[in-house]
Amino acid sequence: MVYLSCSYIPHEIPLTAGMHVKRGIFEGPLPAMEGYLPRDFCPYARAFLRQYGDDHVVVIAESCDAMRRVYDALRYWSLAGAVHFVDVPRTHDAEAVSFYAEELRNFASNLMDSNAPLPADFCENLKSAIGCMNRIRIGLAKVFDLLSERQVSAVTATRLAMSINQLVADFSTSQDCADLEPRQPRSKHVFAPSIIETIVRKAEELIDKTLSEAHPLHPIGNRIPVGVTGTCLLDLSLLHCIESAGLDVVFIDSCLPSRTYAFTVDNESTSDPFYALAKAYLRKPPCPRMFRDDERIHYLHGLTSDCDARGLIYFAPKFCDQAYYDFLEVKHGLKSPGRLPVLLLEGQYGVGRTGQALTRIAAFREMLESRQIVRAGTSK
Amino acid sequence: MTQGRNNTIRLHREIAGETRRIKVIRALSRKNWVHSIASLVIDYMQRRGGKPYQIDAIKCFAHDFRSSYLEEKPCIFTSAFVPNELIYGLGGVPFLPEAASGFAASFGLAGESLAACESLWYSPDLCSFHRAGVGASVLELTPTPAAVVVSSHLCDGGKRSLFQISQYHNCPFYILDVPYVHSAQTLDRLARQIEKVAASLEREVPGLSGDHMAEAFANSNAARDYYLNLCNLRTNIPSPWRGSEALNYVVLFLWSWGSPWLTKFYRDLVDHAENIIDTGHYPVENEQLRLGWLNLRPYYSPRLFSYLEEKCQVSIAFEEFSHMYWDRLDASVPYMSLAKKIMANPGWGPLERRLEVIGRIVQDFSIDGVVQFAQWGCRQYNGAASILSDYLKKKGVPFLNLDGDGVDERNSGEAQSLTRLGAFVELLESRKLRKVR
Repeated sequence: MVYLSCSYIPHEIPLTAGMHVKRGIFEGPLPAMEGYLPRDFCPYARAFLRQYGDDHVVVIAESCDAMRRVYDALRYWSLAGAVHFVDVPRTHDAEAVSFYAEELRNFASNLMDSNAPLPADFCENLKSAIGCMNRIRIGLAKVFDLLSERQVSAVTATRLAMSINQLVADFSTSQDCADLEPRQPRSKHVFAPSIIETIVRKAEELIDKTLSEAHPLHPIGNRIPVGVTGTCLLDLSLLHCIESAGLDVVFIDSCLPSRTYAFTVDNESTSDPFYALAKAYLRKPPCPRMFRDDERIHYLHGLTSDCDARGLIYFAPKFCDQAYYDFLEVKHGLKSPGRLPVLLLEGQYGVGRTGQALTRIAAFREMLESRQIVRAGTSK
Repeated sequence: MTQGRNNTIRLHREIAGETRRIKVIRALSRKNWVHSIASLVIDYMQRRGGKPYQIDAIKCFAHDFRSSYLEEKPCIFTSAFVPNELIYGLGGVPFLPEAASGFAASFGLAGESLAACESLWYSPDLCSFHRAGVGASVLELTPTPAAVVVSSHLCDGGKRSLFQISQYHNCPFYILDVPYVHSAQTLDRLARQIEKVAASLEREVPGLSGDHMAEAFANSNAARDYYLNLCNLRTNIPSPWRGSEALNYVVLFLWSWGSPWLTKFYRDLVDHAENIIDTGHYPVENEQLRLGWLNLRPYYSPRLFSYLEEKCQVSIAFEEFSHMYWDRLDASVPYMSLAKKIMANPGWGPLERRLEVIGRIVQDFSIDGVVQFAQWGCRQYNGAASILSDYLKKKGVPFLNLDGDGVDERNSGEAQSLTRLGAFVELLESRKLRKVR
């Protein structure tokens, strides 16, 4: 199993290497691992630190100071079979894209455990893996589009994205896939197009099922639409909390799901699939770690306008420096175009199960409601 | 300056809650006569017997501050690990807000900068060196930057806080995206980036040109030669220079490479250390133990160090931040040289690089124990504490991870730190006693 730590690392490469792959999503830091990192570290980084199996590969990206220390700790204390580092640039100009393409090529070589050049058919196989992942991304994008139409709840959509993450990882253990073909052994270094095709088909089935079940959740006008953003949405509890506080989440801009799925890789315009991957991943909806001028603000402004969000809830995992700085840019950046109210919520795993979060979100809803009343009065 | 920006600045200052003291300092820092009086005061200090290297350091900063506050030269804000030979080489003056926070703390000004920053929604869980830098910038206690240059390695807070400062001052922002792995290709990529930034600075900032590059490199190399001599002298037992003072001058080490004053400073410091060794008048007269010090120090209070150096007769023999990690610069390939300097930083790349340097410091400076000052909010250095502890344990060197805050007194329990340091010194003493027996 290959565990990925960041949405900038393509699933496509481990899939092409014939390996099970998943984005590392955990339920929180393990008490047994408390001593390895200081307590004033972001919970996602601390959760990532655990004893993996000897045949497990952990891939850490150059996301932040904390994840670099996770990389060091995993190696120093021999907590996984292999640990790889992917150096993701912070810019996205042509030079950065070329650099990242090379970095991804090295990542593929490292996964194949070989100093020799990649197998001749690797690029072709990678292209088909890209095609498969594009299908999943397009499907999921359709589901998330329904958030703004308030036909699918944020919890349902995010849970679907997480199920698909698990499905790609290991379809044989997924309950939803119990009806799949007999479990086929997936040995390392063997690309199995039929298996990937099966996974994609199953993912599409799940997506289609969600799409077919979509229906208006509430009478229009009853609940105020808000967006959710931040570095990393640790779990579903916050979305539950927002929805139970009487707000509708009309978009989610977070590491998982949207920044993992809200783009496609253009496989046609270049013969080099690594370059295509590098370009698409570096230019996908920007993460707070990137330096892309005002693009992130424009992107969020576009999302809020398109989805008609009346407020924004910013979730910052406790001690996440990227989020603390990004929040300020978002708060000030969105102030001028439309004076969008922004609520900052800090927390650990399970933040949505705390009374404090519910109280603050309810107060935010009341504030948005009063603004709506004032606005309605002014327009009369 | 546009009307809109004026309003924003006024609004920010209002939110930040500037005091009369801040207004006075801001106004005075931009007066020509204040800088002229400062020069006279320095001359007076010199006549009164100030140590030459101390006078050099003050002159170095006084010179740069005059140029930047009075806008005699373009002031370029940089993050801590940008090679400032680039800025001096372009004829500008560097200013490091995070390093200046240490200054502010030692002059009792950090409280207002931190309060200003927090009132603008900056989390108190962020590193206080960066928060105080942003606060001082919003209150305009810092000079006005003509541009901002940061490097992406080591510290997330440094680059993000400076990005926000650049937005606040509406000036160009440049980031050097430093690759993680050291290779010919990655060096080449970084060198090209530095070259592009230099070219863009020349275009965008009036008054900058690359004409001074050779001079800045020569200054840097000359200072480096003296500095290596100094490091060699600091291996002497007892230590010829107080570690607490060396930690103050880390600011200069981060700031002034490329300045002619730095060469003079290290030359005079070498003379001073030689003189101390010759005369035997060591700062810690009866040195019992030698410590290695990682990361920075609390700048607002000298008590920890007076306790160590005067009461316990313990020297801080060498500091991680004083480690010379780069080779001589080659002015014929300036950008490649600077790229090599950046990539040579032992804090960057896999942790083994940092461990190796710490191991070497322990050996070369005959260190009895290592203290890491765990700066609140510093994920870059604190995250390695458990590994450091294990690594040093295997080498038989005791390690203390001392929680604290270099700038923000509120995050620091001084009494607790003193107790922990006291216990650590006792442990080292008992080990020494056992060895003697």
